Amino acid sequence: MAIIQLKNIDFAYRKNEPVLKDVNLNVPEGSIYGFLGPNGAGKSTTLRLILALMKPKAGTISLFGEDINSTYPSYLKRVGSLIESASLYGHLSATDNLKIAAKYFNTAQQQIPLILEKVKLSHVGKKKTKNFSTGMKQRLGLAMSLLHDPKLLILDEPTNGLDPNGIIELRQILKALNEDGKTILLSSHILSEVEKIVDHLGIINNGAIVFEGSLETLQELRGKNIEVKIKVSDVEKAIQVLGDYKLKNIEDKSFMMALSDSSLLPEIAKKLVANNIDIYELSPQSNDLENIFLNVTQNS
Amino acid sequence: MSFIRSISAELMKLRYAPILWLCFFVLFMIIGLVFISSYLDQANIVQLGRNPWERHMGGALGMYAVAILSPFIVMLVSTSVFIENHSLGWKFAYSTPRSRSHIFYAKLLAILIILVCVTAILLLLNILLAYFLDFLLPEIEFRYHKLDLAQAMTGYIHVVISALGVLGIQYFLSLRFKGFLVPMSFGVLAFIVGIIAGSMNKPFVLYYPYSYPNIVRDHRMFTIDNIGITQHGWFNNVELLSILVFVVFIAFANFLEVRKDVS
Repeated sequence: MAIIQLKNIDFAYRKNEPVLKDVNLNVPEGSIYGFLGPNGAGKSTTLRLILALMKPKAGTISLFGEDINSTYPSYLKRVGSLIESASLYGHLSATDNLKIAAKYFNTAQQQIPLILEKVKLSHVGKKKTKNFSTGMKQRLGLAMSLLHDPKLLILDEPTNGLDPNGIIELRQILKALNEDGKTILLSSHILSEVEKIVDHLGIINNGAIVFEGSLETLQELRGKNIEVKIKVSDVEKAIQVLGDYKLKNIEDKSFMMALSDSSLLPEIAKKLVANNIDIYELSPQSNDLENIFLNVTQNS
Repeated sequence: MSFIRSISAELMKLRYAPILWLCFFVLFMIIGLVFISSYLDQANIVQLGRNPWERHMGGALGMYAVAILSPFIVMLVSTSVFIENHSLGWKFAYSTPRSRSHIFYAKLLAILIILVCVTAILLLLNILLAYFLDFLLPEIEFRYHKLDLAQAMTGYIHVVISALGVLGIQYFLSLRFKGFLVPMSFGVLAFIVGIIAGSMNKPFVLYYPYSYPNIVRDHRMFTIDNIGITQHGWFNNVELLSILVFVVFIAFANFLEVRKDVS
């Protein structure tokens, strides 16, 4: 069952400048869903629409199987969120910030020390948050989103400002939360940051979803397709010889070539040599998820 | 119950140093000025056959209404909303299971509570000041006269009601403009114009909310007999207009807030 379902969502801040175009998204219950896309692709806007911070121009958004228009604002009881940087009152302590969140969510204040411990901020509970580092602020933001024990967690670029240790810690926290049964929707513009924990992915580019599926599906794409960089003595002649293949990034001495199977490589080399074209380099490009992500977003 | 929790959350946010200092400043400036003026004017302060409480309480109220209340509201409202803008608090507050109107009115009520508390403390401090002056200047004879507390409280209530229009406009402006400068500058400028307009003793001032605290009652600072103030039960037309301005601006601000995109 999809815990979040977006159907044909359109959104624009100004007329004739669409930010989201016919976005469809299905976040399975119990998953860690990575929502990826370059900066400005529409990730934060999509998350804000899910939280009813903005209204779509068209389409429907359902959470927990119900249209959010009919369940607003009570559906937010079951949602914890951290959108970009944490919303903290700098003149108040971490504990006071959590007390405010507890009042909004009708949560017992006894939870505060426990949640501070969970995000490893117990020792600074009384410190004013304006003196916190960026990483501490993000962790406190996460604590505020977890305080009411939500079923669904929506995190927009939560690793922003975190050092490598902080990122690893956050991953561990998120994994543990997922094991506790929470669904996590996590946005990022860096695939390598999320690929270690997500099991489902949605990739958005220029306001449109260009891939959605499980991590396995994306990994299958990695297995099939490869890209080869070929450096030759005569690029124009090589283009004529390899006219049947898909070539790109054509430069003076080199070009890139997409192949569906690596077994085609020897045949290509033979063809070029048979036509008196010298080969200086023939190198398959690393085809990790990062490259697939780039390919998907650049080709869309 | 949830509304009370939200008001308590809003009051917690307002435990902000500039707001506390602002409240202390308002209280001690008025009390200080009343003390200095009484102490320096001791030769004229005692008038045979007149209750000294009347002059003492009226003096502080007049100072509060004419010179302090409007700029205090301008700064209080601007700062209260600014805290939210500065900490990106709207996106968190609006993604909680409280409707936008709920948060909007909780914040408004928190501001009103602070205003009422400051006014009540001012009244109390002014009474205490009278006893202190009596100790320093026994010839004033506060102890031999009776304080009409109900009348004093009524004066303060009328003045606060007359300032609701200013509060409504400032709340609207503070929510519309993210920065601190526009609502604050507008409010201060409007307050200065309000003093000038209020002193002109012309009927048009009934349509200028920033003058209402000056003209809602005779503070013995300006003549107000030409303005056309009429009594309607417990309220006069200035108070009724102030309530009307408050209701209109608050309703409009809420209407826009509910539809606002929070980015």
